[in-house]
Amino acid sequence: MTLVKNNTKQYFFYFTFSLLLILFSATLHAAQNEFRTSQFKQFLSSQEKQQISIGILSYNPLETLDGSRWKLTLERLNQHPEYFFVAQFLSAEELESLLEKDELDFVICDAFSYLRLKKEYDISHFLTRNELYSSQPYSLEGLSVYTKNNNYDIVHLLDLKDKKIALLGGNNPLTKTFLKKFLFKYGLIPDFNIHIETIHDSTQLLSALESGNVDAIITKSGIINKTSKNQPSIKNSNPQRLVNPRQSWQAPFLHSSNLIPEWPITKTWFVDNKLANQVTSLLIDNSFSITKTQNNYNNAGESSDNFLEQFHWSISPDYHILYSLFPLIDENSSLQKDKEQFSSQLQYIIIFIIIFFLLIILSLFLRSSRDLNNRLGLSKLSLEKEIKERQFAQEQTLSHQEELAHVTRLSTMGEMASGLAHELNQPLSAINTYVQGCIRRINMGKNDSAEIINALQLTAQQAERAASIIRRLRSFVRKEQTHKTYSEMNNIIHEVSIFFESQLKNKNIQLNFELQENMPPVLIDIIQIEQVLVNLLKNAIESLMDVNEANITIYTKQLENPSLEDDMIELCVVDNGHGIGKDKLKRIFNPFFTTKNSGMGMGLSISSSIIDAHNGKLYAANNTIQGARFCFTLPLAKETPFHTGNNNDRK
Amino acid sequence: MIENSIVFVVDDDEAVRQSTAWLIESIGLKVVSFSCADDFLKEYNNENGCIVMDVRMPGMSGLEAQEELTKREIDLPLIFITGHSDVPMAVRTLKRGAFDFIEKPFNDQLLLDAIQKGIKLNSDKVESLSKSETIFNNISSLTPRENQVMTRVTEGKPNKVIAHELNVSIKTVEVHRARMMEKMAASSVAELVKMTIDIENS
Repeated sequence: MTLVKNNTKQYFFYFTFSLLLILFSATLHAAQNEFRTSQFKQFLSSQEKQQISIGILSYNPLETLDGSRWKLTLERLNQHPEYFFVAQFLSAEELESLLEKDELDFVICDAFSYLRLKKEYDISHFLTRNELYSSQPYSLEGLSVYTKNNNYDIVHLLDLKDKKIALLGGNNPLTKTFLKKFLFKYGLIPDFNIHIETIHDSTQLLSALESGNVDAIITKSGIINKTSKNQPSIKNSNPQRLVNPRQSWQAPFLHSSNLIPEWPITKTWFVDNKLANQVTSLLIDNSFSITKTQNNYNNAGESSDNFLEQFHWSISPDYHILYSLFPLIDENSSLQKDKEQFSSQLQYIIIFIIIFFLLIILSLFLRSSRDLNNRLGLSKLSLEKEIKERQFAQEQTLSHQEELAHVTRLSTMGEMASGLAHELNQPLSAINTYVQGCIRRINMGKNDSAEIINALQLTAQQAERAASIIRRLRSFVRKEQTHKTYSEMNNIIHEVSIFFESQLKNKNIQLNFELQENMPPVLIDIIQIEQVLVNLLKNAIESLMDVNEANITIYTKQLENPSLEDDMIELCVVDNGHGIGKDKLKRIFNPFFTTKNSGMGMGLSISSSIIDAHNGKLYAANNTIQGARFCFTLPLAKETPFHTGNNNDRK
Repeated sequence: MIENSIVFVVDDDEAVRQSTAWLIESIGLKVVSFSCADDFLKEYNNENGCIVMDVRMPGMSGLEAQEELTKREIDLPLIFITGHSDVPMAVRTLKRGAFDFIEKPFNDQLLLDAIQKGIKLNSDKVESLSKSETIFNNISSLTPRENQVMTRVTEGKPNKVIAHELNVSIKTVEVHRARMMEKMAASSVAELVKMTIDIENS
């Protein structure tokens, strides 16, 4: 349970820590924004006539302000008493990078670019350019698809599928994808299987088509083949051909697409509305006092004589058409935004990521610790259960072991029955014979009473002999409460060997004793130790089948233990029989392992557990020359025995 | 003959050995007991009688002792007594010529009858053996001419035929025949024939 508490503490610590981190990062971000704004204001107030920079999107790297159609606009703006307006022509990439750095106040770009930049840099339009054509202002423009005049593969917009198309635009792959979507939505391309190539330089657009690098180009209508609806182009007179020509009263030229708004002037997010309003009034004021300016905008070698290069600004923002395209940008720009804002908000993001991971780790840790606790609890319960079961099983085992020892004794006796029967048969035969002899003599009238009495005495002796055999047998197999007494090991050996006398005689096996005299008594359960000894002798006798000069030797000796542990006595039963197979040596103490045809295979197993219960050890080995030895050790009691066993009680 | 017979008791268990001996002595037979077969084989010196032997004994077992007796041509009736017999063992001993096979503890009458029968068999054998030995000695004492006459007499040929076959006179045949009958200790031709049959059988 303490483990749970500790974990909760840890959890609170991590939680507080992460909360602090979140607060800290939020404050940091707010402070950054505030800093930027204040910096700008400071900048504004510090200079007498502040510089306002305008970025104009241009696909012509050679474009300069002097010859530009924007000159008039700029002149108007510079009528402002407080500010000095500076315009610069920028490619799509340059425009974006300056917006990124917040170095532009106003941006003039095409509607498509505006749509994209509005989303990302929070620019907002406030005036739209109106192209003047034939003194008529047009606030919308079309896009045109051109192909080579002799390219009859492309007749309809649907034919653009799998074709290579060039257009003016930035090289950003995301922009390209957006462009595709934009063009698709705008009815300019049939599907996405179109290879779009963006070109930065408007001068190269036509040459790309001429050289055959691309199959078609998309451009603002009216730039190439300035074919007004009033002046339909003469077929085959031009090297380029407009695909899917459409015309509308809202636009001055033939075009291929739906109409989109003209270029807007936009302010960036930090420019206040006041300045925007001032700019609006400056530009709209003179909107109709148009100065004719010769435009050298068209560098494609087209004639520009009757083409009016003029425009004015109006508040006619018909951008609803475009706003419907915002979802397209959203799909597209979320990735882009992340990527582009990454550098500026790196710190911010990193903190969030760290917190996020900390939280994940924390939750994982918490969960795992909770799991661990649960599992710990469960396993504790099961462990307790197992311990109880184990204790119960141990108690059972103990009682079963006694039962088993008894059963095994009975079984051992069963196996020895024929030997015992023979042993018992001898005195019975003798008794029978003596008694019959007596009867016969008495019947024959040979009243030699001395002889008859002698015979009857011998008969009584034989009866006693038989009785002692039975007693020994009964004491061996009797079921008795385990009680340990101090007993002389050598006495037990002699007692047990009597069991085997007749067997040994019949099988012609020599039994030798090499017993250490005056051994201290051991605290043992006599019946159980006798059982072990009987088992060992029985095994030895059985292993001596068909062995010449078979003999068994029983050794006892006292082991002087150098360590502080109890001294031990060791008893060995050594035979010169067939020995134990190497593969069997490890298994002979296993229950139900037997090498004999008859027998339960419990003898050695029980013997081993009996010796274990006496804190001794039973082990087996093969002799170096012939036969096997089985030895067991028994610890000598530390204290002096009070009595030396109940051997006599059992006789 | 029977009076000279000795019962040899061979058993490793002293009590059994002594009690058996005591029982056999009660019918007036002479008993010599041994604790093992080896001792018996060492001590035995062509006495008549029979053997009472335990099958299971340390050292030489009863069965081994039986083989040894056969090897040494000791033709004493062998009565086995055993505490744990089985049919194969009994069959084996009897096939090898054991006289009887008795389980311990035994009925005294059964054992004593077997012993007496055994002794009788032994003494009869000894008797018949000595009889044929006498006949054999008598035959070997005959002259070749007497032997020729005896063969023809036992074949049932009259003197006249014998004289013709041996190319001698009838008188000569009669002399040879009388001398032969005397040497063979045969009172009649029938007795002579019985003697020759006994000789052939033994």
